Amino acid sequence: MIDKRHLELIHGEIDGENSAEESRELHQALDSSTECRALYEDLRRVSDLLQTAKPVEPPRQLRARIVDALVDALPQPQPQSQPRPAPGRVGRGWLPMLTPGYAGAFAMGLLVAFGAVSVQRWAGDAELDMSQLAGTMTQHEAASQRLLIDLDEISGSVVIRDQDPLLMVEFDLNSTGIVDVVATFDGADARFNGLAQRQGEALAVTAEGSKVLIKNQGEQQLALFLSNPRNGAMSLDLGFYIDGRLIHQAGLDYAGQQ
Amino acid sequence: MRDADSELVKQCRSGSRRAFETLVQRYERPIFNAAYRMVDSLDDARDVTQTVFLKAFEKLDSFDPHYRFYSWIYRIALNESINLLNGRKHVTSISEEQASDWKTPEENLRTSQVCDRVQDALKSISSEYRSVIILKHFLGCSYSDISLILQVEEKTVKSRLFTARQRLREALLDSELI
Repeated sequence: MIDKRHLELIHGEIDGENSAEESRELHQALDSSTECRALYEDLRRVSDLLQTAKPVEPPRQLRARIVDALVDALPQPQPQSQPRPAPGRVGRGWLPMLTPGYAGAFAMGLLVAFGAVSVQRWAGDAELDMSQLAGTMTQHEAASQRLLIDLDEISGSVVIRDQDPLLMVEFDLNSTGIVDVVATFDGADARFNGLAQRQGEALAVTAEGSKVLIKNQGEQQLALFLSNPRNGAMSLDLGFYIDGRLIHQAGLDYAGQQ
Repeated sequence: MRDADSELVKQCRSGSRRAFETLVQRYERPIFNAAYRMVDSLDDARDVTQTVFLKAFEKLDSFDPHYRFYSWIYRIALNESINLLNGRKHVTSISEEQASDWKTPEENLRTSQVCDRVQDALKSISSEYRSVIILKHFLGCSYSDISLILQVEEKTVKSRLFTARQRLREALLDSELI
C-alpha cells in the first residue's frame, strides 16, 4: 500500500509541480519501494500516451466564421473627432494611385472597407460625398480569405475582399518598429490598380509589377486594389522583413468566381 | 503573451476588431482541441468553439480583468462541452465517413491506432475527470489555473486528477496500451 504522501509526490512529479526538495524525496521513495516505482512508471506512461494524442487542427474556415459572426456583435467604436476633409481635397493620408477607369469601384471599395468618408472623384471635378451612399451599401461582405498575424514585431490582419471587378487587399497592421511588408500577387489578369490609406502614415509604398512594398510602422490601415476583370483566381504571398531579415511568411488565395 | 490578453479584452470592449481577431487566433486552437477531447466529435467541437467565442464576447463586460482571460474562456469551453454532452442522448464517436471529410493524410497518420485508443480511454471516464485531464495534459494548466477554471479548491483539483489518472490507467490497461 502506497502512503498518501508518496502518492501525492508521484502525481506532483508527473504534473511538474514538485519542488526540487519534493522530487528528491520522491526519488528516494522510488528507490526503496517497488510498488511506488511501478505506479510511478504506469502513471508516467499514461502521461506519455496522452502526449501522443497530438493537437487536432481546427477546420480552415472556422476562424473566419467566428470572426464574421462576431464582427456584427462588436460594440461600435467611439466616433472620432477628426475633421472631415475639406471639399475638393483628397482626405488626409489617402494615397491616390488610382487608374481613372476604376474610380467608381475604388470609391465603393473604400466605402465598404472603411465606412463613409468624403472623397474626391478621381476623374471629374465635382466632389462625390460617399457618405450619401452609406445607406445603400453592404457594409459586411463575406471575406474571401483572412490572414491573422500575431507576432511580437507585428500583428493584425490581411483580408482579400471581392469588390467586383476589383479585388481589395485590406491590411490592418500594427508594428512596434519598421516592418517591410512585401506583397506579391500572382494571377493571370490581376494588375495593381491603386492604394488607399485610412489610418497611419505609410512611410513608403512602392509598387512594381506584381510586387508591392509597404513600410509599416505603428498602426496602419491600408487597402491595396487589384483589377481582376475576369474574376480569376489569384494568390498573394506576403513576406514580413525587419532590416532585410525575413521574420514571417504567409500566403492567401482567392479562388475566383467560377 | 497571456499577459497581453487583458489589454486585448479592453480593446475589444471598445470595439476593436483587430483585438478580437487576435484573441480568436490565440485561443481557437486550444479551445477546439479541448472541445474535441471532451465531446469526441470534430463537428461538435467546431460548433462548441464557435459558441464559446460568441458567448465570451457577449459576456465580455462581465469579465473581471483581475482574472486571466484564458482561465475564463477555458471555463466557458468546458461548460459548453458538458452542456452538449448532457444534451446528447447517446455519445457516439465520429463516423468514418465524417472523419474522411475532415482529415488530411497527415491527420490520418495522427489518428493512428494508439491515438484512437487513448481517445477511447479518455471517453470512457466521466466528464468531470476528463475535464481535469484535458486542462492538465492538453492545455498545460497548473493546479492553480485548474482551481480557478473549475472554481474548486486546489486540493480538490489534485484529488480529481489522481482519480482521473487512475481511471485512465485502468482503461489503458484494458486496451493493453500499458
